[in-house]
Amino acid sequence: MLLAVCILFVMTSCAEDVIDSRRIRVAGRLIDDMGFPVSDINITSGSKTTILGASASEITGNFDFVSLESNRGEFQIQINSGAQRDSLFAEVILVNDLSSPNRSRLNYDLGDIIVKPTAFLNLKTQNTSGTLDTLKILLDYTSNYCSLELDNDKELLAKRRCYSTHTSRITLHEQDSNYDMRLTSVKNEIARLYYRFNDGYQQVVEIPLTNTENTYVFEY
Amino acid sequence: MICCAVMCAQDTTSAASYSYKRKGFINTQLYIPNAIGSNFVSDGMKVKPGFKLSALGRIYPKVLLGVRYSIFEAEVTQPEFTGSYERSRVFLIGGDIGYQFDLLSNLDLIITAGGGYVSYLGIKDDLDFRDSGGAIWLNPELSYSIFKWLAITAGVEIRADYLNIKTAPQLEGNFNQVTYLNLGSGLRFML
Repeated sequence: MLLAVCILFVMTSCAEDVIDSRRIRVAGRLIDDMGFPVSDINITSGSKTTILGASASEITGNFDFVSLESNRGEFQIQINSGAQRDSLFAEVILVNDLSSPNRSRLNYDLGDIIVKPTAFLNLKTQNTSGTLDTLKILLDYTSNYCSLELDNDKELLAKRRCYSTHTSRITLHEQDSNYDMRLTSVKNEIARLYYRFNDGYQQVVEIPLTNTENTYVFEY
Repeated sequence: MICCAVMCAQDTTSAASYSYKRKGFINTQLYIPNAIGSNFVSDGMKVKPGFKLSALGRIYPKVLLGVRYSIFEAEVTQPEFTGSYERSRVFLIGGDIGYQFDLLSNLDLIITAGGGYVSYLGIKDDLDFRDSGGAIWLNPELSYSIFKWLAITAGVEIRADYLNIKTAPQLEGNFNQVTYLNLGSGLRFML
């Protein structure tokens, strides 16, 4: 009986709740890397687990909405969150990671937020020569995900992990020497394909991602 | 209409005096709220009819003192103006002071004014939260007696809710005051 009461106490004291008598303003403008407004992108706010505010960017790229606030964890503003695999724009997360009692900010006027357009790369490797060599590929590309830190008092945004470099590694042996993959990066960036045969010297190929859909066929 | 009622009430010799033998009354009403102006309720919610209960006692032949309670719900329709939740349950409790004008033998006008506590309970899934503050109102109401102990009532209410919500300066005007022009109709039980 005492154990049940203790468990109930812990559960209720850790439960998330919305803060009484408090409203947050979230505003800003979404632009792409060329400075053009980005419309119709969903923006949500709240804790990690609960959406407490939501809107979408207008044709001007502007958004301005009201959010509740949770008494648990950090306050997040998620732009294009849960984006489908074929979304045309990156996902941007802004986080105020101060815990609730210390988090006093009521107005998140974010200014211009760059949401980079997505570029897809379809990479096809084909062993056209019939070689028995082992091929090792390392593919570096820019991620279409950006996380920024929101300061509690000032308007400055410090980068946490924003459009950083991702690496995919592939090893192709004789029996699986043809390989296709599709990855998501950002437009107007360069993907770099490093390859070597049988631990020989490394070579690099640069693949510019100038279109939304890009295909590169690596024949060896 | 109110001016006419006041002018008519000056003729005290023809006023129905039997009503002053009643100690007071209890009002039960269908309460139809209507938020006006620019605020988070009028911009972002759809209010629904509720219920009002009041009890007034006579402290002087035409002067009444009492309490009232009202409740209604409002559904969130535009969450970008309110925050993301489902609905609010708004209740009010407060005190009334009123003055009675006898218009005809069975018809009277009571104007009450008062102030009290107001609470907006926001409901979202398993989470809820509360915004609260004070309210003031002015409520003229006509009643028509069908029996000595029973009357039909109809009235309007101008009400202002002042909420203690902390928010950004750009939103303070939307959240710190909500003004209503409400209608009410129901039954009055004479005591």
